[in-house]
Amino acid sequence: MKRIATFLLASALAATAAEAQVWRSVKIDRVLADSAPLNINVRFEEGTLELRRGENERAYSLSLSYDAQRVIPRHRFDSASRVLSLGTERHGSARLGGDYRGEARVDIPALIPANVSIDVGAASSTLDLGGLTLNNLHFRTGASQTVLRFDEPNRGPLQHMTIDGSAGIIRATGLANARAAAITVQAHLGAVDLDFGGEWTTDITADLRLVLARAVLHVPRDVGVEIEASRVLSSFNPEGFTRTGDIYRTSNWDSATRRLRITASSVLGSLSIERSAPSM
Amino acid sequence: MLRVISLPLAVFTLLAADGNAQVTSPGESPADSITRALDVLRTELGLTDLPAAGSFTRGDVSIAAGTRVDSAIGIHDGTLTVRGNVGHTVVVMNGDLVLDNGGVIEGDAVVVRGRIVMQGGVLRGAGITLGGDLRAPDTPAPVRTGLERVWHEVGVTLATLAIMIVLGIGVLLFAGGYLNGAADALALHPGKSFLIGILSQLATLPLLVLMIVALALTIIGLLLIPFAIVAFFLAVLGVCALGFLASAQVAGTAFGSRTAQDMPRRRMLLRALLMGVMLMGSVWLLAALTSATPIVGAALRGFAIVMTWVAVTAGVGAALLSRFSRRDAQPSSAAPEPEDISWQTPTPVTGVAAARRPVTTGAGGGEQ
Repeated sequence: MKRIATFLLASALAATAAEAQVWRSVKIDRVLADSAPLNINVRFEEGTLELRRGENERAYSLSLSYDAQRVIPRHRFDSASRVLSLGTERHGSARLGGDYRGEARVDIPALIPANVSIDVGAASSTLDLGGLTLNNLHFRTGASQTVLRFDEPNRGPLQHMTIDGSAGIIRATGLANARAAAITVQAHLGAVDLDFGGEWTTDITADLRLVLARAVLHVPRDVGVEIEASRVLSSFNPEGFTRTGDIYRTSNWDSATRRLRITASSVLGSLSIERSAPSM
Repeated sequence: MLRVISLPLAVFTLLAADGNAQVTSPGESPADSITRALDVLRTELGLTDLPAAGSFTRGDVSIAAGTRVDSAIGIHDGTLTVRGNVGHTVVVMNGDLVLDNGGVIEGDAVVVRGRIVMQGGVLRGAGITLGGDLRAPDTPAPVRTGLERVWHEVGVTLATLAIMIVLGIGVLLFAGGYLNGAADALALHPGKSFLIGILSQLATLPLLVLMIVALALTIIGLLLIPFAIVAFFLAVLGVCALGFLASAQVAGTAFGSRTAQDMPRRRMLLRALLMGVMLMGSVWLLAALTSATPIVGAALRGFAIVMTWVAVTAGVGAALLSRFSRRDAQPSSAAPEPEDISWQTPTPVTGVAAARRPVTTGAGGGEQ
């Protein structure tokens, strides 16, 4: 019995590995001739994605290692409409999922103002968006793990940032460095950890929409926080907040030079706010 | 011995199956290799301004300063040095592209299995380097013809039948009590079982929602929700399989020959189960064999679906019925009621209830 089991296991392993795979690597880069604003759409189906500021501040680049049976590279640049599409897309009706080792690295030009839209499927992604010139940012992800970092301030004000996660874990750090006046975060069946550290140059309005999700916000102690929460079967511990009607405020709300206004709606979720070291 | 042979064999197969190592097929001509690479560039990278496969030249090529080339250039197995001006795409296979000082490429620069070396030149298009396995990926499965479709359907049906038989034997061996209980309940109360089956199907989704809501009330529960959902569906699947097998056993018993009555009970149950599964499978097999004919095939398939649904529903109901009735019946079965035979003997056969005498234990002892 044991021998048969061993044989079956070994055969299954061999059969799995023998599934045809066609691994290719491709690197695409382009130096842009001018600094007109770009609309950058990044879409990545599965695997590991790393996105960051490029070394050449006027060039974009896409490096991929992919199985051509499952995905194909996505690269289109329309110089007239200034739309740049990067990443991968499903190859025909290929089945995705399972153990996939595909990797992508996307470099974004730092000096070109850009509206960036990032759509990540079942992937693990690290997005280092510090030091870029982002006008708008929309990030959407599926069942994945994401680290979204703003290690350096955005080079200009970011008009609106949206983070939309379903069945995933998203950790965002240095959100004040994004210089976004408005942030919308949607989480369904997952967890978001939002750290509002970094350089505060403007007040921030955050709109949180949670469904079966947990959100933890880390806000510097010197920032005044106001929360208006509507909850259905959700937990919220307003420790350190003073309640006025439906609104909770920190004691330093009136005296704070920078403020964070949070509108939160939560269904079967939990929201907690932790105070971190004072902002820079 | 088998283990000793099979493991190295598997490891060898694993190594051989790693497609990364193989880049070009042995014996492939350069023309074929170029065609394949151009196909990849065209289909996967969307490049259109490419040189024709027949226009590739072999060996080192140099575009001299002051000269202009107004067509796409392709070379293989060599280095292309550009000092002049190229108005279209440049493709280098198995070699490097050197964009020297003063050189300009208006289109894209594509290098397959090589490097792009920038030495002061200007690239207006994209720089693209491609490597790895350039075999064409498998094409999607073609549409099956009538006969192929029949064979495919028959194969799938037989495989499913085999799985159900193996599952049935496993359940009979390891959870025979549950299976027999469900089969007995189905044979005794078919209508009631079917009704309970329908009610349980209607209750499945609300039950799942209720479970999620209950788990979401705590943070730990919230984290457990994905696992609980998977476990819930596995449990539902298990009950459905048990229900189907119970129905199959009842059907097999009904259609079984009278000679089976003389067999040992376990063998009889196995025989009934196998017969039942094959009986139900035969309807699916008929549907598979007629899958090429639109009306008859669809009608038989519809009948098979309805039959299976009824079998699963009634079986699930019976499984639940047997489970709960067993639980309800447990206290009485633990102490079976004696027959009324007290008239046969002057002393009561059910015994006389005796009260325990109080016992004193030590100084601090009391009644026990």
